Amino acid sequence: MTIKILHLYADIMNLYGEYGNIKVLEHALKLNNINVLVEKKTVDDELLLNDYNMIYIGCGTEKNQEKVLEHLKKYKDDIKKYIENNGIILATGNSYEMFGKQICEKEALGIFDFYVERTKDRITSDVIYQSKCIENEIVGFVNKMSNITHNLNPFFKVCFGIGENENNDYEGVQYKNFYGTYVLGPLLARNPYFLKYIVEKLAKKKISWNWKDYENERQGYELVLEELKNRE
Amino acid sequence: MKRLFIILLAKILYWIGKKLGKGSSLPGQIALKLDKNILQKIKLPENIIVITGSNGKTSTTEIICNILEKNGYSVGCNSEGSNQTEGVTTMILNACNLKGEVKRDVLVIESDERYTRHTLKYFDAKYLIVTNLYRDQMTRNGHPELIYDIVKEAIDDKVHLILNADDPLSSLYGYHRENVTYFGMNENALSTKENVSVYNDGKYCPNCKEKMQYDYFHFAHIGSYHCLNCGHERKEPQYAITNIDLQTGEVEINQKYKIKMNLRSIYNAYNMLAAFAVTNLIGVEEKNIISVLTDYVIKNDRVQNFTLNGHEAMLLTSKHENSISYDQSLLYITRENKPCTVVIIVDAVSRKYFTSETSWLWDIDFELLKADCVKKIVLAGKYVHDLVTRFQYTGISQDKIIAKENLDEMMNEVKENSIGNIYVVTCFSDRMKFMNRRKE
Repeated sequence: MTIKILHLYADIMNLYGEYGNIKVLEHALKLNNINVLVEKKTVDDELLLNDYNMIYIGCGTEKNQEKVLEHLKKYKDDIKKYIENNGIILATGNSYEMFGKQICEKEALGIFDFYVERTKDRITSDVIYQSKCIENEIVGFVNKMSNITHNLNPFFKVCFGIGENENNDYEGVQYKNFYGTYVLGPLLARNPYFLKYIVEKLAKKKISWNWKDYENERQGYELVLEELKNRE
Repeated sequence: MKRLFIILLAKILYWIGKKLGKGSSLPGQIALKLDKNILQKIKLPENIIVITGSNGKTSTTEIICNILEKNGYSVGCNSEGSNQTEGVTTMILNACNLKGEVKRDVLVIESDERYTRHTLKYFDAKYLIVTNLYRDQMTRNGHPELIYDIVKEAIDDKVHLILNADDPLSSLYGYHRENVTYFGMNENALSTKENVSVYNDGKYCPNCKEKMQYDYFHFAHIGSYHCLNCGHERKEPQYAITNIDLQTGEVEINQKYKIKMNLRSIYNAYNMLAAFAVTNLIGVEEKNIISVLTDYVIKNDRVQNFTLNGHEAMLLTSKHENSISYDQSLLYITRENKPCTVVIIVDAVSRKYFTSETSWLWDIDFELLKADCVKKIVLAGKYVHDLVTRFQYTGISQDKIIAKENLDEMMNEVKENSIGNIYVVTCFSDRMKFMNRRKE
């Protein structure tokens, strides 16, 4: 069996080194003897979503997000079906905003009920988030110009830093195998526990993960976690 | 009367600050608090040059001042102080007499790209140089398109823009505009047909977001581009590097002048060219500019030579959170092509604020260090694990790489086991951690 991953908009939604997520995922699958094939598609390509076991989209500028959303809207129904059929989507940074009802006044994909409001200033923060999927927290950095409201499917509880808006302690969207979070950049490189979780989702089974291969990543993760906790 | 009081106070505070070795923001900050329009009440010279952009501001400013001073101009400059509004205010109040006149021929002002719009509220610049707009300190700046919008607020119809023709983003300020002068580099032996860096911020037109066409690249997304949709394109630069040889350091300007660069890098050539452009526009004769630029040694201490345990060593200060700055250092090392050890330290991401964000490591073209001349790589500092992870995906043999979180251990390793020349690549926030450990 070969796992097929679609890296969507790698050339335009890649503002914070997001391609790293794909590199790390490919490597992890190979280490576990799982064949993997990564394809890149962008704004002028046709998409056949059902060909893939996983879709990844990274973060882009506000203008780039607008451009990409135009293209993605053509596949609104396919995406909906893909998610309902337990297809895996990881959307990081502002890419997950596109799956809500509206971004400011503009209509988005409408797959989830939430709304995106533009803020006047940029909001940035180091973060620690806790999900229900795994025991270990996620560490990372958020860099955005928006608040999210009316979100019925939060992914994380905020332990440190900012969440989806100033009024609650939630962040991200999780529904079936859809994972959306504002944690930007190569979060799978820094969060080996979450990486393992995604790999197991792709393999559709528990994996006897060899932590020896991830000693460095684990130490890095622990160090940042401790550093951020000390700043609480 | 109030003006006189503020000028005096600022001068006294500046003097005290200087005695105490303190920064230069405070006098300006207090002056602005007492009268936020104080700068409007100062008589400034007509020739005011403001330099902003992501990379190269400090060097460009320094070169401009030098050309002007060596050609008999009196110059006021904020080079020793802060480049935010307060620092600029300090400099101006310190340079003016008690009647509130700045008796200088030219003011040369380096301006933080986020503050230019505030600073230029109080006076008009005659020339505004935008060196470039790259991914830089994105934890603070968001991203280059946001900075583009922020700088744009500082640009009125009157100011004469001096723009980098080869940067598709900052050159957009000149789109359908008259009073612009471009500087840029023509195609040469170092140009490539494809983008060879890790990311390509020029893939889509910054104006209309349709796909951009490129004839060639100099580095990253800097090169010759045109958009078939909206017509945004590289304009023929009035000031051009018509040839460059990084082995000899020889640069040809406008097919007319040859200068030898002391620091042999493309980036240095751009900085010199921007300085050439503006000083020529002000009225310095070309040949007089060239005589200053030839073998010009940058005085700011970003590059330092020293020896360490018998090894020739070089500090290449690079900015964390700024991949192009890092790429510049890495390219320099590989072009030198001497057997060497490369030390990379990421211990504090910034000296001004805390963040543990290291995504920017993935934007740096560390793959360059695959070069045969690189015999050994020492990674160090608090974020060494993130560095090690990043390096796992470079394809560089793991045998070459040593990781030390502890900086004393790093120094021992570098002193005892380096091969060939040593290059230390790190940021302002971390470089003294290396330099201070050298002597122990």
